[in-house]
Parts: sequence; C-alpha cells; structure tokens
Amino acid sequence: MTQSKHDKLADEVASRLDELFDENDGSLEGVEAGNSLEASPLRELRAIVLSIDWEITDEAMTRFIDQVDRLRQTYKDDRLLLAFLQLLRPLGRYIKANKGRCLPEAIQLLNSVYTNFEKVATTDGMPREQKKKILMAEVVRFKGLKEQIVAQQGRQTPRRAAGAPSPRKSAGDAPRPIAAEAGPATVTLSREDLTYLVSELTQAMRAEFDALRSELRTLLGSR
Amino acid sequence: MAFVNLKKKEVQVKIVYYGPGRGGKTTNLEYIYSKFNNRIKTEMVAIKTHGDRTLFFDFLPFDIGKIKGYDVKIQLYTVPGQVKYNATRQLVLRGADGIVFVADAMVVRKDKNIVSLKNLQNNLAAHKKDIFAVPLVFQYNKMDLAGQGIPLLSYDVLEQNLNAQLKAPSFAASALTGKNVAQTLKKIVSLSLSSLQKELV
Repeated sequence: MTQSKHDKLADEVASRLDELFDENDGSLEGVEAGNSLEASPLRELRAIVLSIDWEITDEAMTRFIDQVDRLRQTYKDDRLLLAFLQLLRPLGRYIKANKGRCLPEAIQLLNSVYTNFEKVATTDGMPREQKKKILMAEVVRFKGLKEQIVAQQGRQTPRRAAGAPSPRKSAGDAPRPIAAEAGPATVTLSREDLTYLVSELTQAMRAEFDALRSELRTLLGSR
Repeated sequence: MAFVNLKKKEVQVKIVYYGPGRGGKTTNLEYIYSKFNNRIKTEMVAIKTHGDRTLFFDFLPFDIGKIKGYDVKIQLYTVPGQVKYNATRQLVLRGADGIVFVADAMVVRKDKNIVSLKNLQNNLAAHKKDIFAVPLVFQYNKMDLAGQGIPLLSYDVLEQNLNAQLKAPSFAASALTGKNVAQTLKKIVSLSLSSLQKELV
C-alpha cells in the first residue's frame, strides 16, 4: 500500500470515529468537572472507600471506621447524615472482621451507602423528603443484608437452645454478625406492644409472689 | 488477528482493555456505552461477581460503518484484572487486534501496574505475539483523584515506569468523568485498523 493510500484510510477512519465519538456537541458538557470534595469533610472517607481493594486490609478498614467516627462527631446535629454513618460503621466492622469471607453484597452495600451519603451531604437544595427516601432505601437494603447474614450463620452454626443466653460480643477481630451494632435496625415497639409486655410481666411477677406466699404459709403452718 | 469476511466484505476488530484490577477498564466501557449509546446503538454485556468485579469479561460491540467498502465492526473487551483470573485473560486476549492498557495512577498501585504489564507481555507471548508489535495505547486513569488529595503518579512518572521502551501513544485520563476516554478509543481503533490495512485493500 502506498503512503497516500495509507493516509486516505487513516483520514477516513479518523473522520468516522470523530463522527461517532464527538464530545463537543453539547451533550457532554460538565462531564469532566467531576465532583470535587477538596474542601469537604468527606474527602478522606471517599479516598478510603476508593482505595478499598479486593484484598481488604485491616489498615484500610480501621481507617474507614475511624473516619466514620470522626464524621459522626462532625454531623452529630444532622440526624439524617448520622443515620447514614450508623449504617456505614457496622458495615465497615463486618467487612473488617470477615474480609474475604464476608458476603459480596456487603461491599456493594458499603459503596452504595457511601455514594448516597455523599450525595445527600453535598447536594445543595435537596429536599429533606428526598433525602429521607434515599436513606430509607439503604436501610431496607441494610436490613436485607442483616437477614442474609443471620441466615448464613444459622446454616453454619447449630441453633442455640430456646431461652439460652445470647453469646457475648467477641473481642478483637473474630468473625461477628453485623447485627452487633446495627443501630438503625433496632426494634421499635408500639404502645400496644409495650402495654402487652408490661401486663405479661405483671402477671408473671404476681404469679411468682403468690407462689412464694403460699410456700411461706405452708412453711409457717408446718411449724 | 481480525476476522475478515471477504465474501460479506466485513471486518471484525477486537480491542482488549487490559490492566490491573480496579484500574477502570470496565468504567471505560461503561462510559463509552452510556455517553455514545444513541450513536453506536448497541448493548453492553458484563458478567460480574463479588463486589461488582469483572468475573469473565465485559463486551461492547459497535459498527463504525463502511471503510474501503468493508463493514467495520469493533468489539471492545475487558479482561478481569484480578491476578487469579489469568486463564480468562489469556483467553480474552486471543485474537486481539489492539490493546488499551489502563494503568491506575494512584501511587499505591504503582507495582500492580508493572506486574500487570509484564503479565500482558507474557500472555501475548503465549499467543506468539510481541508486545512491541501489537497496536497498544496507554491510558493513565484516575487523574480526577488529584483534586481529592489522593497521591497520584504524574504522567511523566507513569511514562517512565511503563512506556519508556514501548513508546506507545498515551493519555492521562479519568474513566469516571470521561476525560480522554473517547480519545483513547479513537487512537486504538485507528492504530488497529492501520495495522490491518493490507487486508482492507
């Protein structure tokens, strides 16, 4: 092939590619600007989230948890942002404790919760209702993950006998369930539930005292 | 080697995005797919696993129309970056007409880039191809992180680390924001087609 033929081909290819991948038609404006967090308190946390690799290290996860704790102080007056952080912390601890053995959904959820946390924290003028909606979607996913973890652990370890005491929180980095710190998943009781529980407790105590009284009477009578 | 169908006057060009895990190969394809989908009118296929990582490969085919009377079809592939999937990488690399090496500009990924480039050289050699002879473009990705206080290798350092001998075209880029993603693609398609010119005439 002569040089001119080569140039002609190159020109033809270049022109076709320019037509297909032209970025100056207005449709991509603003894309390159990115979303800089240079002056944001989230900067460090974002860097850590980005640096969490397939091989999850203790160091990265410790830094992650430290940053979440720092931000909990920063946002202590903003309950919505605090709730996002309350989701991130147990996720970080679960991933740190279980590393490669953790459910893959946990890593996906950590990324998703962080992304939405950043979105809610940095988007000016976002209505509170929308923020709440985003948060609630993450809480639902978090609860789903918790159930998955509980189910997984149920398959791995024999069930405890009914009424047996709960195992104490293990120290150090021993594998542990996400439920250990799951703030947003705390069970909330309605007024009816509470009334029912109090009446149950009262009845149980009354029955105990009646039994004790009867036992005392028997003892005194036998003297 | 490109698949050339003389009867149907059709050429298929295979471009493989190669590089270390979490370097941005899939993000390149996702950007191309999301930004130019209305023009390339195609579907992207991605097979993912644990933590959204590429298990097998991502695949994005598109046509660029007739050139020299041939219908030219481009097929973009990514390979899984994780070390343990080398057999898949070798398989995907077979028949590649051009390679984009997506390097991670983060300082902490310096060694992983070098290991991955050596892995590319070895895997090409397994297919009896010479890295110096294959159309190759370097993309130094994640440059957008500079604004976020994350330590990055400079363009010059990356050139010295990876491209000092190969002297292939290279771009500082951000697959996330799209900076130089299209330029990288245009360059590798152009280089690959140039190397195939004898078959097109």
